[in-house]
Amino acid sequence: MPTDGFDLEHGVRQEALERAVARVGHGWHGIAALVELAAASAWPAERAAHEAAPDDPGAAPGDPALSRRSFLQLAGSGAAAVGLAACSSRPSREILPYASQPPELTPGVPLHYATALVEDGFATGVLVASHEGRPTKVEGNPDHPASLGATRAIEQAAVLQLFDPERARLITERGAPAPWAAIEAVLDAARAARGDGLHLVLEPTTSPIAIELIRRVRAALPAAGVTFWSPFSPRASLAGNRLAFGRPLQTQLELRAADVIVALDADLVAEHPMALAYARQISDRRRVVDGGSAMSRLYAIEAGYTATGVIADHRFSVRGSQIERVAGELLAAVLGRLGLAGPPPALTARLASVAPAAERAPWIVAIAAELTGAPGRSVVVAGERQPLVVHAIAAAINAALGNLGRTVGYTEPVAFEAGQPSHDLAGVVRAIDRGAVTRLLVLGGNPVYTAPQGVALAGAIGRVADSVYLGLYDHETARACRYAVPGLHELEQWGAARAYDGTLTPIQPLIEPLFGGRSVADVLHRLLDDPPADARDRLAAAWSRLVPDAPLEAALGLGAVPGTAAPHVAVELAWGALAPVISAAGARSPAPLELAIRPHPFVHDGRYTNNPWLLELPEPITKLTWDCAAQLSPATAARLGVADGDLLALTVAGPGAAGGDTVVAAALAPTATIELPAIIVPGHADDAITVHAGFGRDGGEHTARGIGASAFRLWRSALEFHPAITAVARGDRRPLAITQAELSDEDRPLALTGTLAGLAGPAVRDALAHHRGAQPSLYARRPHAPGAQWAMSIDLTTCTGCSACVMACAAENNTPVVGARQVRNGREMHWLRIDRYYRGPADAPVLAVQPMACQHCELAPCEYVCPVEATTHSPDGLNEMTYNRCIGTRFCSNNCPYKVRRFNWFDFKDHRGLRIAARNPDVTVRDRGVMEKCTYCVQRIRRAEIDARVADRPLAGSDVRTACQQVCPTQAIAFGSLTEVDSPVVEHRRRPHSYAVLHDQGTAPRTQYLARIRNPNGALP
Amino acid sequence: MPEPIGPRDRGGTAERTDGARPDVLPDVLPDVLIGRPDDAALSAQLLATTTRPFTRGWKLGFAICGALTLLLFALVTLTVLRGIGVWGNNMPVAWGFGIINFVWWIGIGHAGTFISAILLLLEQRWRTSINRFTEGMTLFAVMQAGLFPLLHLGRPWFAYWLFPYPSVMDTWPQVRSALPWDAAAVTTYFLVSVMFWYLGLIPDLAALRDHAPTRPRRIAYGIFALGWRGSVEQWRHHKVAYLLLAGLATPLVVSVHSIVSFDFASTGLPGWHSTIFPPFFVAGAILSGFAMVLTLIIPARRVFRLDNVITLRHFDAAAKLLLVMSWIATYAYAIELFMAWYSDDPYEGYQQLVNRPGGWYAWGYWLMIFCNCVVTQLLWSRRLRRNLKLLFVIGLLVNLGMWLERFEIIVVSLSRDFLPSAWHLFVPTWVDLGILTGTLGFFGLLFLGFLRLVPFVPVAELKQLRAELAHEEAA
Amino acid sequence: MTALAPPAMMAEFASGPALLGGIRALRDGGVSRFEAFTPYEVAGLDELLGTRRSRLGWIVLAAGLVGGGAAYLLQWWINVIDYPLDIGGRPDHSAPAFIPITFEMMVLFAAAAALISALALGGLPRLWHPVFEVEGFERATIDRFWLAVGAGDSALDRPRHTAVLEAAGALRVVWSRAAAVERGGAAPGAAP
Repeated sequence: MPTDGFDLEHGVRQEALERAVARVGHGWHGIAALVELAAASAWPAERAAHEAAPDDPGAAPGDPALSRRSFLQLAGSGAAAVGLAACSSRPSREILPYASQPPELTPGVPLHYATALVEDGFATGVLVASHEGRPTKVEGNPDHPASLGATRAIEQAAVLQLFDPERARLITERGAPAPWAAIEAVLDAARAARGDGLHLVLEPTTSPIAIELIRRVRAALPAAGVTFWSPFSPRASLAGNRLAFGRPLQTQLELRAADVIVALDADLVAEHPMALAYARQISDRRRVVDGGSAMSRLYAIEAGYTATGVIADHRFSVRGSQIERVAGELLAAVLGRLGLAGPPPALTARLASVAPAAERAPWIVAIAAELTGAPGRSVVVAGERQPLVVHAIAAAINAALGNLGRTVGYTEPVAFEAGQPSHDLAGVVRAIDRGAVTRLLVLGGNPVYTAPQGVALAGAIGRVADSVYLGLYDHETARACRYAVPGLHELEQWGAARAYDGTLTPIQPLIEPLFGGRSVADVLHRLLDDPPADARDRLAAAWSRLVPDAPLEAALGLGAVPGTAAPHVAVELAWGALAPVISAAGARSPAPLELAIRPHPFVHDGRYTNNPWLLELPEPITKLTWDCAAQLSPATAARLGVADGDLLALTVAGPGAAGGDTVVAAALAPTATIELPAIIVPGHADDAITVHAGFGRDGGEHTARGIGASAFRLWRSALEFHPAITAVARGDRRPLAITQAELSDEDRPLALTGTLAGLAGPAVRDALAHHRGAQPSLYARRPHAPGAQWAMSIDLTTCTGCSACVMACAAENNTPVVGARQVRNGREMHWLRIDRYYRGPADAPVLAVQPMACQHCELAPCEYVCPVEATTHSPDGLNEMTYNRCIGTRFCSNNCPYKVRRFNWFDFKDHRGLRIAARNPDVTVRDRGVMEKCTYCVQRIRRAEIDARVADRPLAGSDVRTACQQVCPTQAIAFGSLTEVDSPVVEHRRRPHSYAVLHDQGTAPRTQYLARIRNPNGALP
Repeated sequence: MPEPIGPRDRGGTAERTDGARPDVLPDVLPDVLIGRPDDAALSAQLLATTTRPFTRGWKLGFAICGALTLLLFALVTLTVLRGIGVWGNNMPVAWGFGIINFVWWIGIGHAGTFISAILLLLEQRWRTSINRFTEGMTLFAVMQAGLFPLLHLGRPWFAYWLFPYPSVMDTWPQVRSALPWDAAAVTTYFLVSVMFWYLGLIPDLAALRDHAPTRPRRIAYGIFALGWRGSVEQWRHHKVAYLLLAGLATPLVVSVHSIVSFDFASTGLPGWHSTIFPPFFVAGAILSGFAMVLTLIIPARRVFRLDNVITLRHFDAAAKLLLVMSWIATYAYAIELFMAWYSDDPYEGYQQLVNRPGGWYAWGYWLMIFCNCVVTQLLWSRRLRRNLKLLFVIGLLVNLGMWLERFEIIVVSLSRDFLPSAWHLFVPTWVDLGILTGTLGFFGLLFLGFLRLVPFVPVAELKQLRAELAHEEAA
Repeated sequence: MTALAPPAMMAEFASGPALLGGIRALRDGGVSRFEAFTPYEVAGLDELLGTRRSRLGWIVLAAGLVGGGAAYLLQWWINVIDYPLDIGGRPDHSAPAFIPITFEMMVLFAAAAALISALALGGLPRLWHPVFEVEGFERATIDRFWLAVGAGDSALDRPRHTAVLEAAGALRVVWSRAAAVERGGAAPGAAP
C-alpha cells in the first residue's frame, strides 16, 4: 500500500523505496541504477542534475565549487546557492561563502517574490516566501485579481511538490538514461521535415509568450499539428456560449453586484478557475453585522454537495442529468413572468407548456419570482459539468433579466484557441491512426491518464516512432512515450500566464531547477533552432515586444499587470439558434443510476496526487483522506445495499451515439469498470454517484501509485456528462481513512446557526447571548498583562469549508504527514481541522462547517493538568506548548473539551532528503512523544514584535496575520488584540451572533465564532 | 545445629492438652487455628514452606510466569524504542490500556493494606493468618502498577521530571496536576507498604535464621533479620511501631486511590468529572483486592495444606467484605446514572445514559455490571460463602469486572466527549494485550518467589495469637 | 540490655507463663534487673520488668509534621516565589492543590521515622550478640522463653538461684564462666 510510505510503522520500507526512487529517476527499473550512474558521469548536462539530486550518494553535499558557480549564476536573487543547499540531504553541512552576499538578503529574514502558479492555463498570483533562497511558503498575492491575497489548498502545497524527491531527474529512453542529444535529433528531424509527421500536445496556455512561440512553430513547421488538452479546462461553458451567442465566449461574473445568485451545478467558490475571487465577491455580500445587514441570496442546485452548496441559503439536490430540465423550467417560469418579446413565438409556446415537476414547482416558482424581482441584480450560473444547453439557458435567463453587462459579462476565451477543434484530444488519436504522426511531442500534462475512455491515446502513442514527453514526473504519459525529459516546476521557471479574467501575470523562479529540467519554451525554442539563451533574457525580450507599455521589472514587482483584463465584448443572444436546443432540453429520460465525475478539490485531475500534504488533507465534505470513494445519497446506498467503505463495482457502457465530440469507435472497450468504496453523503442527489478524478494512478510516482481508482476510465467523451452506470456491491470492504466519522452534532450548541430575520428579533439574540459573557468562578480572574491580548474570531457565515486554512497551517507550522493507517486510527496531525455537521432530514440536510483549532482558553483546562509545566499561559494570552518540557502524558488532550491537541505517537517528522527543504525554519520540528497544537502562529507574532521594536513603533494587532487568516478566500477569520477597541476581532465580538463554543464549560476561549446566518427566502418552507 | 523441633517437646505436650478442647469456649474464635497446634508445631508447619522441595508443579509455575515476564520486558523495550504508537491509543482516546492497568493493579494492592492495617486496628484477630500474604500481594501489585505511569509517557526517560529537583532550567513539577499527586501517593504507598511488611517480617526472619538448613540461607536470613533477639526492648518498640505504621497506612490506603481517582475527577470530561469518584474508587479497589486475595489464597492454601491456619472463617469474612464492597460499587454506578439524569447536563447525560449502556462498548458495560453487581449477590448465602470453588470463580469474575470498570471509565468516556467531530473508537493492539498479560506473569513470578523465600503466614504473630487464645480459654 | 557484655546467667523456659514465674521467683530471691528473650510478646512481661512506655509516638509525630510542612512549603515556594506561572488562570498559591502531596509526604516521613527509630531503639541492626552463643538459644525465636541476668547484678548466687529457677520450671540454667568463678560462695547480704 503506497500510503504506508508515510506510515512510520513501515518507515524502513519507505526509506528503501525513497532511496531507490531518488537514486534513479526510474525507481521501478532495477538495472537502470547502474546504467544511470555510468550515464551520469558520461553526460555533463545530466551530471549537473545529478549533483543536485538530494539523496544521491554520489552527490557530495555542499560541494563548494558547485555552490559558488550556481550562486554567481543567479546572483540577482541569491537564490540558487542555498537552493542547492536545500537539496543536500544534510543541509546543516552546507557552508556558503557569504562574502558575496547579495544586498537584499539577510540571513533569517525571508524574502517574498511575486510569481504565479498555473492550472489549466490560468494563473493564480502568489507571493512566495524564500528563506535564503529556499522557497518555503506560498501566500496569495493581494494585487492579483485571481488571488486577492488568498490561495487554495493546492497553491499552499506547491512547495512540497517542488521538493518532491520523486520528480523525474534524468532524460530517459524507455527507462534507461539517454542523452539530450537524442531529443535534439528528434527535434532537428522534425524541423528538417518542416513539421511533417510532427504533432505537439500541450496544456492549454494563456501566456502571450507561449502563444507567440506556438504561432512561430505553426509558421515554421506548417505541417505540424498542435493539440491542447487538459481534462477540466473550461469547455462546456465556451460551447454553450457559442450556442447562445454564435461564437465561443468565456463567461465573466461580477458577483458583488448580484442580489440573487442561482448556481446550476456550479461550484463557484471552490472549483471554478476564478473561485478565489468569486468566493470573495459572494462573501462580501454576506457579512452579517446584525439583523439589519443586507445579504445576498444564494441558491445552489446541485447533485453532490459542494462548497457553494455549503454556504448557500437554499440548496436543492437534483441529479446532474435533470438540471437541464430544471434550467428549462426556470427559463419558462422567468419568461412567463416577464412576458418578453425577444424569443420566437414557437419557443415561448413550447416553454409555456413546460410545467415544473410537482415536487420542485414551489421552489422553481419562488426562484423565478426572486430573479424577476431583481432584474440586472441577479445571475444564473451553469457549471462546467453541465451540458451546453444548460449554459445556453443560463445565458438566456441572464439576457432576459438584463443581467448582461451588470452581473455577467463575456470575453473572448483567455486560453489560446479555447473552444476550437485544436482542443479536441481525439484529434491526436485520429491523426496517429491516419499514420500522419511519426513524431509526437507531449509537453506537460498527463493526457494518457486523463484522456476520456473514448480516446485511446496510450495505444496510439505506442504506434508513433519518436514520442517525447516533457514533464515533472515519470507518470503514465512519460512511460507511454519513448523519451521522457524532466520538466520544470512553476517555481523553477520564467514565463507568463493570464488569469481567468485575462490579467497578464509574470512568472519568475524562486530557485534554480533542482534536477536541471527543461521548460516547454526551451523545447519549442530548440525545435525552432533558436540560438541558446538565458530563459530570463528570452522572457525580457518577448515581454518588451508583446507588452511594450508595462516594463517587466514593475510587473515582477507587483506580480500582475493591472488593466490587462480581457475586455468584455458586446453580445446578442441568438434566440433563433437557441430555440430548438432549449425545446429539446431534458427530453432524455433519466437512467436508473448515473455518474458525475468532478475534479478532486485538492489533487484536481491527478497532477497533484503525488503530494502527501494534499492526500492527507480531508476532503471538505466526506473528510476522506488518502483515498477516493463513490459518493452517494443514503437512499441510493440503501438501494444498493452498501455502507461506508463497502466496495462498489461501477460500470459504464462504452460511448454510444451520445457525446459531444466524435470518437474513435474502433479503439473502444465496450464497457469499463472500476472498483471504489462507497461513502454516504447526506444531501447528495438520489440515483446518482459522484466520483472525484485524480486517483488510480499507476505511473512511477510512489506516493500516488495505487490509491483508489481512476474516474477517467468511466469518462466516455469530453463533452458528455452524467452517463448511465451500473453499480454492484462487491461484498468486501475497505476501511476508509476518514477524519470525522460522525455526521450529526447530537443537537449540541457547537456550530450555531440562525437566519437573518431571526437575528433581527430578540429571541435569537437572547438565545445566542447565552453562549458568551463571563462565567462564575471560585477563583478571581488573573488581570491581563499590559500589551497585546491576542484573540481570533471566525465567521461561520462566510466559511465555505474549502480547507485552504488547514493546508496553510500545515505548511506554516511543519505539521507532519502520518499516512492512511495512522489517520484511520485517529492520529492525523493537523492543528486546524474543519468540523462539519449535518442537520435536518437526511435527504435535504443543512451542512454546517466550523474550523476548529486550539481555542486558547483563558482558563485553559489543559494547563492545570500538565504535570511538568509544558503547557502554560503567556502574558499575551496564548496557550503555549513548551515542546522540550513535554513528557507526553497526554493528560492535556484528555482534558481539552475541543480535542484539538495532536500527539507525536511515533517519530512522525520526515527525515528523508528533499522534503525537509519545504519546512518553515521559524517553527520547531516536533520530536516523538510530545504534544503539539495551534499556537496562533506565535512565530509570526514574535517576528512582528521584533519588527515593531526595530522600527521603534508600538505593535499593532494588524501587524500579525495568522497563516489560516491570511489564506482565507472569504476573509472569514479575524485576528488581533482585544486591547484595540477598533480592531476587527473586537468588532466581531460586539456583534449579536458572536459566541464561544462550549461556553458552559467556563474555559473562556480566546477564539470565538460568528454564528452561521442564512438568508432563506420567506416564500419557501 | 538446631535441635529437631516438634510436638514431642515437653513444653509442647502441656500446651496441647490445653488446646485439645477448642470447642469449650465457642466465643473465642473456635474456627481459627484449628487443633490449636503448639508453638513448635506451628513454627515447623509455617517455616517449612521455605524449605519444601521444588516439585514439577512449582517448576512449571515458575516457567510460565518467567516466560510471560520475558514477554513483558520485550514489549516494554519495543514500546520505548518505537514509541507509544505501538499501542492502540489515539486521539481522542489518549489513555488506554496503560492507565487502565495502572488503576487496576493499584486497586488490587489495596486489599492487602486493608487487611493488614485496618483490620489490625479493628482488632480483627482472624486477619493474622492472611495479612502477610495479602501484604505481599500489595507490594507486587503496586510494582506492576508502577510500570505503567512510566511506560505510557511519550518520553519515559524524562519521567523524573515529575519529582521536584533543582534543575538548570529552574523548572519544577506543576503540582496543580493530579499526576504529581499520583507520583507522591504511589511512591509513598509502595515505600510504606514495604516498611510495614518488613517490620512484621523481622521476627520470622530471625526464626528462619535460627533454623535455616544451610549456612548460606542462615547468613542471608541473618542479614535481613538484623540480629533480632526478641528482647523485651525490641518487642516493645516493635509493637508500637507496627501499630503506628498500621495507623499511618490506614489513611494512606484511602488517600492513594482517592488521589488516583483525582486523575479523572479533577478534569472536566463527561464520565470523569464526578465528586463521587474518591469513595467509589476506594471501594472498587478493595473489591478488586479481595477478589485477588481469593484468587491467590485458595490455591496457596491447598498447595501448602494450611486448612488449619487459613480456615473457612477467613473465606467467610472475605466473602462478606466482597459483598459489601460490591454493593458500594453498585451504589456508585447507580448514583452516576442518577446524577447524569438529574444534572440535565447534555454531555454527562449522553455519556452515562447513552454511550456506556448503549454505545459501541455496551457489551463491556453490561459484563461489568454482571461481574461486579450480580454475581456477588450469591455471597448472601453462608453455604456459598464457604464454597471455595465458587469463591475462586467469583474472585476471577470480579477481577475481570473491575478491569472492565476502568475500561468503561477511561476508554469509553474519552472516545465520545464534547465535540462529535472528534469522536473516535479505541481498539487495542497485540502489544496492549501482551503487556497486560506480561504484568500478570511478572506478578505471578514475584509472588511465587515470595511464597518460597519467607513464611507467608506471620509465625510470631500467630503463635502470640495462639497463646492469647490459650490464655482466654484457660480463663 | 544492649551492652555486648555476656549475661552472667540465663535460664530457658517452655512458655511465657513459666518465664513470668521464673522472674517472680528470682525477684523474690533478690535479683532486681532482668532481660528476657521471647519468640513473641508475652503478656505481662513489660509490667513485670517495669519498662517505660515507648517514646516512639513522639518521634513519629515530629517526623510527620516536618515532612508535611516541608512539602507544603516547597510547593508554595515553587509556585509563589521561585517561578510563578499562569497555569489555566489559577492563582499562584493554589492551596487546595497543594494538600495531597503535603499529606503523602507527612505519611512517608512518619512511616520512615517509625521503622528506623523502632530498630534503633531496639539496638538493631546488630547481627551478632553474645547470647547467640548460648546453647539452645536458637529456639528463642521458636518456642523457648529465655531469662537473662546481667553480670553486674551482685545479688546473683549460683547454687541458690539455680535451684530457684529449676523449681520455677526452667528447662535449663546456664551460667557464664566468669560469673561462676567470682561468685563461688554465698553472697553476703543476700538473705533478708
